[in-house]
Amino acid sequence: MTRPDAKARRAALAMTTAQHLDTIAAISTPPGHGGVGMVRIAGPRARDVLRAIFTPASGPDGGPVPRRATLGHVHPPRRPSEPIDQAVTVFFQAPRSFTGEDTVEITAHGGPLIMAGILSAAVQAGARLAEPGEFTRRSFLNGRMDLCQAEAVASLIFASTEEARQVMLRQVEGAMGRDAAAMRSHLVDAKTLLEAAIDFPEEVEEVDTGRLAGSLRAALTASEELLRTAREGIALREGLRVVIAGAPNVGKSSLLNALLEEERSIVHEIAGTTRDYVEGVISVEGVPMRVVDTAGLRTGAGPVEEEGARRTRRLMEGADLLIMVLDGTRPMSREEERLLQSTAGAPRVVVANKADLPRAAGFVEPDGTIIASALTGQGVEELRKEIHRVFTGGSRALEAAGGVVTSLRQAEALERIRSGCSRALEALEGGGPCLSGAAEPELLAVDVDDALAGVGELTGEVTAEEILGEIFSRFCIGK
Amino acid sequence: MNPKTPSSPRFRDPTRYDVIVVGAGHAGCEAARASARMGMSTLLLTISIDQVAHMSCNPAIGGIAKGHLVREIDALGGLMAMAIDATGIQFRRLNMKKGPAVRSSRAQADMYMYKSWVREELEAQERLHIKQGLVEGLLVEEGAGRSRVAGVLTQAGEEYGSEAVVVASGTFLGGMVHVGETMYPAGRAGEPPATTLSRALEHLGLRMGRLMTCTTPRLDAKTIDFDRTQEQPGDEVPRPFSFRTREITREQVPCWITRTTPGTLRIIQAGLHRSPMVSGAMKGTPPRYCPSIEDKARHFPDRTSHQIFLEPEGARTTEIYANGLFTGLPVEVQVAMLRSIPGLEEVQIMRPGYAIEYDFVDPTQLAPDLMLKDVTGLFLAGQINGTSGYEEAAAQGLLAGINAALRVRGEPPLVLGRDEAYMGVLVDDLVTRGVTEPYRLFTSRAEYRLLLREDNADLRLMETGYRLGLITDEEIGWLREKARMMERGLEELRGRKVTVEREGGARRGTPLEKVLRQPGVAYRDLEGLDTGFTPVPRQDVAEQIEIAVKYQGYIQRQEAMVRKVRRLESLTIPGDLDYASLSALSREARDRLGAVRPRNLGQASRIPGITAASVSALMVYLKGREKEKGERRKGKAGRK
Ligand SMILES: Cc1cc2nc3c(=O)[nH]c(=O)nc-3n(C[C@H](O)[C@H](O)[C@H](O)COP(=O)(O)OP(=O)(O)OC[C@H]3O[C@@H](n4cnc5c(N)ncnc54)[C@H](O)[C@@H]3O)c2cc1C
Ligand SMILES: Nc1nc2c(ncn2[C@@H]2O[C@H](COP(=O)(O)OP(=O)(O)OP(=O)(O)O)[C@@H](O)[C@H]2O)c(=O)[nH]1
Ligand SMILES: [Mg+2]
Repeated sequence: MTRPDAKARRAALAMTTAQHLDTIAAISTPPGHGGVGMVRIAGPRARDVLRAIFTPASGPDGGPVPRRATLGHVHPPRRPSEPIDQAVTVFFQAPRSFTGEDTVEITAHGGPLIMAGILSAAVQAGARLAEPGEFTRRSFLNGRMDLCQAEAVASLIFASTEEARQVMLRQVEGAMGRDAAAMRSHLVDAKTLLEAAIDFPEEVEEVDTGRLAGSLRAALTASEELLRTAREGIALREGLRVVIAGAPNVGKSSLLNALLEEERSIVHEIAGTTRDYVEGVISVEGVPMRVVDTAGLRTGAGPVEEEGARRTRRLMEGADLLIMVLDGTRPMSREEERLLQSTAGAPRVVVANKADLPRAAGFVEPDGTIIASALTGQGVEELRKEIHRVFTGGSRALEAAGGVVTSLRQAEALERIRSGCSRALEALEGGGPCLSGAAEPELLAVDVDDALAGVGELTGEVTAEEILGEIFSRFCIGK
Repeated sequence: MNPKTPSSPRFRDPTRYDVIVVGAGHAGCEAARASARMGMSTLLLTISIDQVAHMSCNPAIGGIAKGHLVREIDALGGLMAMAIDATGIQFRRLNMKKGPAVRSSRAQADMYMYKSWVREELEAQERLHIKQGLVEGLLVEEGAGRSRVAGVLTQAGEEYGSEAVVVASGTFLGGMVHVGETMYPAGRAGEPPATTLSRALEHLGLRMGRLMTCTTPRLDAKTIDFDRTQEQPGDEVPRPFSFRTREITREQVPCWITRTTPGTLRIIQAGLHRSPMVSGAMKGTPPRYCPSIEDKARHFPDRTSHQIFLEPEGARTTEIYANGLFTGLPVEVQVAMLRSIPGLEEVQIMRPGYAIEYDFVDPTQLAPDLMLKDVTGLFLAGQINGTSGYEEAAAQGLLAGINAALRVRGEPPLVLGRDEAYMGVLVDDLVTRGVTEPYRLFTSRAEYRLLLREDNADLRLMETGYRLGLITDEEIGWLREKARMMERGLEELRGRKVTVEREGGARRGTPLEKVLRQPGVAYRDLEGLDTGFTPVPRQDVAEQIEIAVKYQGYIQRQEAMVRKVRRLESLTIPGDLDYASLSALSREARDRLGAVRPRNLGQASRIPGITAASVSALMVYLKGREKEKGERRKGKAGRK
């Protein structure tokens, strides 16, 4: 087995005989999703619960056959004459199931009443309602998935675009785990070279620095490649915060509506129409974005507008990307110029709006400005493209076949690996502190240890306790 | 020998001892002396008084990580460092090309002088009685759920009572010596085993296992042609182990190096099937780090030549220890093998090499103070806990002696952290992870290696030794002065600023500390840069200042790690926690946790097979339990 945590995994496999004393049940499709819904039951009594509340169409039988879909109807315990709904059930026998325990999946028509009915039947038959994230937690505890996979499961449920879904699916399948395993083996190699020279100086006189550098570089490259996916990957999972800002009445709300293709924000010729922010979600090349329309920025107006402007500035600070809107029918004000200057360093797109009207004589837009009209839709497609370009910096990171960084936690762990490797390499090449003139192996080992700890954090083998707390508290639906 | 359960004693000593130590090996000697120095009336019982602190194997103390242990033993007021300083005949520091954290001391001992030096020291110790006697049984009182030790019984029919007992019986429990196809019960070649004591321990319900190890043939120097070997001198200026020793004055001797030949390998290979370790005659697990020559031949058949170190066993004996030739081969094969080696063509063996297998007690049954969790007052130390090596034994002996005394006094035990001492690493590894082969310490076992140096063992541990009463007023005064001088020296480096020449011109106001951090700049060099600056004259202080400055970044990182782990360490787990009822844990996790009964989450996380997931599940449970308790308390308060 090439898994990073082969040993832990083996232990975990043995754990799959784990006897969780109770059996849990929950609705496993997010509320309001489509025509079908699923109730999942896991635990030692899952099979009994199924037999109590489900009668196959072919009549009562000897009990469920693992991994075979069976049609029939669900009913309150031992009352087959009062069907709740027609359903398809699949029984997964431990350890070959999502959580590693005996598991039953009941798929029926997805109405909330029907789902609630099935759930209540399961509970009457001896299951208890699962806590938020409990299925995934059990699955993780039983060694059925690493931490990246566990995270991806939660994200998959929320994935709002097809691209996001694809990436999360890749994670659930363990793409990141495989990358972590590769990094780990390079780092273990590096560590072995160092420790051998320290603890057995009589047998191993010198560290094989060529090989050491090679292993460190391999881990470094892998971590850097993964980190390149972080911006997009995290955005895929969490969405990007895009803020539309500009002077009053330049057409910010109109632009939001144009991007959303619906009338979300109130548009009015009176300047200062938007007092509080309004937002909508769009998908740009598969990246979900929360676009926020803000109150126009202007000084010297009433206290309400002042408050609005303050909020706008706060929003702008927290944004992943800014859309700065200008009105092409009038020259830029001093204030607008200042605003453009102050945001020049941030990721942003500048739009000169109202391109359907004649351009004002004194209006000079900065380089790269998108000329658009919220009214006619001219330039809106271009704007979308530009947003994507600015955000990704033109990279196609997500197209690589390997893992994708989809959370800050992963990015931090990878950064730990990256910096550990790069510090060690630097010291190896003579840039680090040393007492004897050469890079001392015990100092290099500190950096490699750090990188190894990063690998541990990545897949949750040796993770610190607070990370786990974080993750499990985020699994907040009946999975 | 006919193993018998000791029947009624023929002599019952009316004096009750506070502490009884069984076995005067390296563990037992430290234990007995520490206990007596802490005010306990102490009895040291051993099979042969002539073999006190005998070196069963290599006539040397120290080595990588082991040297660290010896310095720590010294800082806590133990014996070993002073003993080797007084009797060492060749001192060498290892890893000198690497940084200070992994530099270790090692010295060849005149093993006969070493033994008599230790024996004299023990005989001079007040409150300590040394008696010859083979302990066969333990007096144990059955209590509610827990038994408690009350004394020991000897083969000669004596009974001695005590509050605490430290068993440090080394390789003697059920010991069986093998030389080729021959085997006989022995605790060490030429000495009887302790078979009945092993049964007695088993009787207490302890989980025991079997390990094995082997030693090299001893050669007669007058039959060796040293001209055909390479002389290996010791260090020019021998550096003492003990913080108390000013200098080593004893005359130093060289060792010699020779190598096996392809012929040696052929002889070994032809005789392999006759080695008890290969034939399957021995059941114990051998250590991987100290392989027999048979194993080397088997696992690295392509290496045709292995280094052999010829080490004198003393200044007044011709007996030579052939380091690197650990073997269980029959004597005739040993002779042939030796005579195929340059310089040994006509060698005579004085004592053949042999292998030994012996019982050990699964150390996860011990609490971190080295007392058995289920038998109050019964401490185990040394090879009986599955370790190997004199230093590992002595370290445990010292801790067990200290803790036995603290227990009698009714004071909390001394438990050292993994970030405080290699001793802490050693004990935590034993009681948390257990052993699968004879356990030896390595620096790589310590996660905070840069903090645990030979050079700062005194700063790490002497205050503790002083609190225990094992470090004298004079010694602690000396340490505190050192610490003060260090502090002042560091402050001065931070305060004094100089102008340094740089590529881009001179840079003003650079603190000396920063200058010292540059590679290639030594503390003494600073004198030339700043006329107002006088380096601290004490060499040991100057060394500490230099390390503190040069390593600062790394040391800070390790300290940050320590703080992080200490948080897990501070979450204590009740000793009576019923793991079987924790349904959130896998059965395997429950079994392992139940077997070790960790004291806190940090220790739990280090148990093999306990995943981060299990630890977090345990934490969730403990937090929940705490909250519940808190609420119950609040509820009670509300009703008042
Ligand atoms: C053949 C052999 C090979 C070894 N090889 C190595 C090696 O390669 N590397 C290494 O690091 N270490 C090696 N050692 C181990 C090293 O000798 C021990 O680790 C170390 O001596 C252990 O110290 P100790 O105090 O625990 O026990 P020991 O030094 O064994 O001392 C035990 C003492 O207890 C006494 N005793 C035992 N039972 C009783 C009893 N019932 N009543 C009274 N007294 C008792 C004995 O007489 C003895 O004095 C080897 C030992 C042997 C015998
Ligand atoms: N001709 C033309 N008019 C536009 C365009 N975009 C917006 N307008 C008009 O400009 C006026 C202001 O539009 P809003 O979208 O409300 O502008 P805003 O920036 O949100 O204004 P505040 O919320 O008041 O800061 C409205 O009358 C819109 O109809 C455009 O592209 N072309
Ligand atoms: Mg508006």
